[in-house]
Formats: sequence, C-alpha cells, structure tokens
Amino acid sequence: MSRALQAILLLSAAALLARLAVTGEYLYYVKPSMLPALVASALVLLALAVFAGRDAWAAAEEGPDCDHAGHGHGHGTPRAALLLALPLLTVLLIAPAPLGAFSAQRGSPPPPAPAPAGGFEPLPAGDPVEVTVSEFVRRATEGGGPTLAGRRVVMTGFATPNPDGGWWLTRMVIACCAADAYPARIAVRGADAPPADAWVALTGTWVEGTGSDDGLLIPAVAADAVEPIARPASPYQR
Amino acid sequence: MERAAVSGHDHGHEHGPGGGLGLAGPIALLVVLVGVAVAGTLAGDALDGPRLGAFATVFVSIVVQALPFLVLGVLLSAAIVAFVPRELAARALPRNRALAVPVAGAAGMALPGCECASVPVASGLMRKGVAPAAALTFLLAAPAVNPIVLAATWVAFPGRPEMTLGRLVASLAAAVAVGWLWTLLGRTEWIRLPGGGDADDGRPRWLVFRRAVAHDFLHAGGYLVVGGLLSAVINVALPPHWVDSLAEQAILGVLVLALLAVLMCICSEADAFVAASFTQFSPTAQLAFMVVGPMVDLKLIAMQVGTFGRAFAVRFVPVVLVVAILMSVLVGWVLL
Repeated sequence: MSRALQAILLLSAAALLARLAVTGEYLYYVKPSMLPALVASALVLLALAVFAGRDAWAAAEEGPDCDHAGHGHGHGTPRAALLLALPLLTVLLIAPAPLGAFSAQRGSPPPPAPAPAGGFEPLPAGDPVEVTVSEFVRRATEGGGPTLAGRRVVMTGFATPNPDGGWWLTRMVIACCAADAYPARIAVRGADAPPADAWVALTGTWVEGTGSDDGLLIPAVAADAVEPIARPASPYQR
Repeated sequence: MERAAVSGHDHGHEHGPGGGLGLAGPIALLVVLVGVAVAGTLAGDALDGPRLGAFATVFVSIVVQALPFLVLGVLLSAAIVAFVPRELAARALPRNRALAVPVAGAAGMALPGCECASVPVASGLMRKGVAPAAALTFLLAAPAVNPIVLAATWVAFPGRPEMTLGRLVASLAAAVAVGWLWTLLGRTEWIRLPGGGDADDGRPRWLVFRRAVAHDFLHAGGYLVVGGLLSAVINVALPPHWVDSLAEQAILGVLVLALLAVLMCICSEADAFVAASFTQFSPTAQLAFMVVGPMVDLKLIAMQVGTFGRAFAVRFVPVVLVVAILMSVLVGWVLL
C-alpha cells in the first residue's frame, strides 16, 4: 500500500470525526461528552495524514528505490485498512438518522434504576411540568407513582407503532454509543397515532397504576395534546 | 529471552512470498463474509429504509465510539516503542514470568481505556521486550476491570454488589489464567507484530513515534471497521427476543449470552447495562456476558488478526473464550 493511499485513509478517518463534530451529527452516534475526544482524535489523525502525505511526496521525488531500501514499513499495511474509508462514505452517502421506531420496537430495556433512598422527590412546580420519557417510566415502574398522580406532564419523543395495536411515545437511551441503545416506552391513550418516527411533544397525565401492573414495565399516559415538533439536536437520553 | 518476531525488520518486506499472502487470505475471507452478511441482511424485504438506516447508524456509531480510544491506544503504544528505554520496560515487571502475569493483570486495572486501546498498547509492550504472556494478560484485564467499568457495573446492577465483585474476580482470574497458559504453552512465533520500528535502531525518535502511530492505526483501524460492520449486521438482523426462550436453561443460557457478547461488540463501559437487560437469564449468564465481552468480540478478534496476525488469533481467541466462560461459571457458582 503506497504512502499516498495511507495518507488518504488517515485523512478519511479524520474527516469523518471532523464532519460529525462540526455538524453536530455526532449526537446521533455517541454521548455529548465524547465531543472533546472526537475533536482531539480528528486533529491527531489530520496531523498523521499530513506527515504521511509529506513522506509520500518526498518518496516520489527520490524515486521508488529509495523507499524500498530505506524504511519500507508502509508495505506491511493490510488491505483491510482500505475499509477505513467506509464510515465516511456511509455518512456521506446514506446520511444515517438517529435510531428510531425500528430499533424502539426491537429493543428490550433493562429494569429502570430503583427508587432513590428516601423515595422520589416531588416533580418540580409547573403545569404542565417537563419530564423525560425515561424519568416518567422510572417513576411509574419503581414506586414513584404518587409523585406522578394527578400531575400534567409534557414529554418529547418519537412515535413508535405498538405491534399489538396503538402506539408508544419513545426515546432511545444510550449508555455509551448507539450500539447499546435501548428504548424507554410509554403507551399513549386518547390520541391518534402520528406516523412512525414523527417527533412530538405530548402533554398528558399518568394513568394511575400502569407501569408496574403488567411485567412489561410500560406505563400509560392519557394524552391531552400531541404537537409535532422538530427532531431535537440530541436525540438520545441518558 | 522471550521476544515476539517483528515483521518488517526481522523478516523483510511483507510482499515477499508468504508474508503478503498470509495477510491477504484472511482479509479476503473477512471481506467476503461481510459482503455476504450485508447482502443477506439487506436482501428481500430487509431492504427497507428503517433497517438499512439502523444498520448504518449502528455501524458508524461503533466506529466513532472506538476511534478516539484507538487513537489514544496507538499514541500510548508508539510512545512506549519510541521513548521508553528497553531496560525500563523489562524492569517494570518482575523477572519471574509466573509472577509477572498477575502483576500485569493488576496493572490493567489502572488503564481506564476500552478494549480498542488495549490491543495496540499490548503490541507496543511486546515490541519493547515485555514477555507476551504478561502483555496478553494486560490486554485482557485492562478493559475488563478498570475503575470506570466497575463503576458502570455497580450502577447497572443497583443493590447487587456481588455482580461487580463477581465481574472483577472472574475477569482477573480469566486474564491471569490465560497468561499462565501462554507461559506454559505459548510460542512466540505465533505472534507477528506489525513492524512499527524501535527506537534502538538509530533513527530519530520523533520519526519512529509518528511512523508507529500511523502504522498501528492503519493496522488496527481497518479491522475495527470489519468488526463494526459484522456487529451492526447482527444488531439489525437478529429477530427481537430470539434469545428469551433459551433463558431458562442454566448452561445453555450462559453459552447464549457468552455468544451474544462476542457478536454484539459492546464497549466494556456500557455492557453492564445491556447485561442487566437480560432479566430472564441467570445472574451467572449475565456475568458471563460481562466477562466474555471485553475479552472476545468480533471487533477485538478482527483487530487482533490485524495487529498480531491470524496464526495468533486462531489459537488465542478460542482459549480466551473457553477460559472466560469457565471462570464466569465458577465465580457465579460460588458468589451468585
């Protein structure tokens, strides 16, 4: 593998990280806290690409023999390194979207974190009060129902058709990257299903008793209003 | 003195007879496998937008999550190769090889990196003359028992500290057992290290450093992509809940989750959360998922083929898998 090709492959890896960092699309793939690591890696790879390009230039001027006799390490690079261009091509050609209804239907969430010692704090003041989908699920399933009862909440998520009928308000939760994502799901009552993957802000009230009664740990919300919204920049929740 | 062969320096150029073909074979095979797997997944009704989209997202996310750790790993490895004097590397570990193995395992607890970082670092240690048995123990232990991973396990299994303890004990035991096995049975000629150079040959250290970084990155990076592709195919191709029916069988459950850990390629910092989601499985099976994953998965196997050669990987990977499962069962039986 020539040094010029090596430089291009290093550059494509740097370009992948730089593009995702600059466009903010990195949030489709990894946690927000990864941004500094992505930028630093892109800079290191860019520097490596520049050096490799300079070596290629120098080798071309000296003639091919010098490279063979002199250092020659470049020839050990496996052809699999060509695949380093593939992630960048995928991002440019397929333009992946954040994981949505397809993954939310398939995934199975771990049991939510148990109630904090001393029980759940009451929800903040406000009507409706803003909560995350996963926080709603956690309170409903882990004995925090009294803090939800009678409170109007507003939550953002995307619509996922329930294969058994009806629809869920869903949000993907990631621990590390999208490969380990699992869904937080709330069954919606009293509102027509938006198209799959449509992002909405849902205002409603917990249906008392749901979430811990069925073993599936999917609580239900009685919807007052379902408003379409734009997809948030950070599509996953912790 | 045990020292692995360094291709490039010791064996001449890779395009000699054997060398080039030896690498081309497995690569061609992997590429064909991936091609078939991707084509199979995307064919027919699977060629719908959502599945292709999820495949692309998971594939890119595995690569993007791993790249910073791989860059960190190759920087560390190249720094070891270029700047650490050979005598220091040799003196850092006990001279007695049987003793060096557990010390290397304990040292793994101090490097909070994911498995993508530990492969190049182990390679750098070997190039510096550290006994392969100790370097391999470090390779296995570092991603499995570092503080970040243990903390994540603690959070993922609230109220069940025995899961974190079990993970620590089983992972360390497996890493040390594999190191001792290598001391007894391993042959250095199975390992072919990428010829990233060594500072002792008189070239400027900075040149050695930056060449080694680029070289190691290209060696492991392409294979990382292979692992990401395979794992993404698994992610979108397996029917949901296909494992649930196997959960109730004690032994089969352990084997199924161990296999799943190999296929899913989840970072060791996140795998405890996934393990916790397998609620129908026994705690021992969940433990096996967390012990096997950081030591053997598709992306690691691919990177080990790229970094240490195929002859190494075909011997090392099955042994590690068996030892990791055995240790999980043993620890699970005692603790859980």
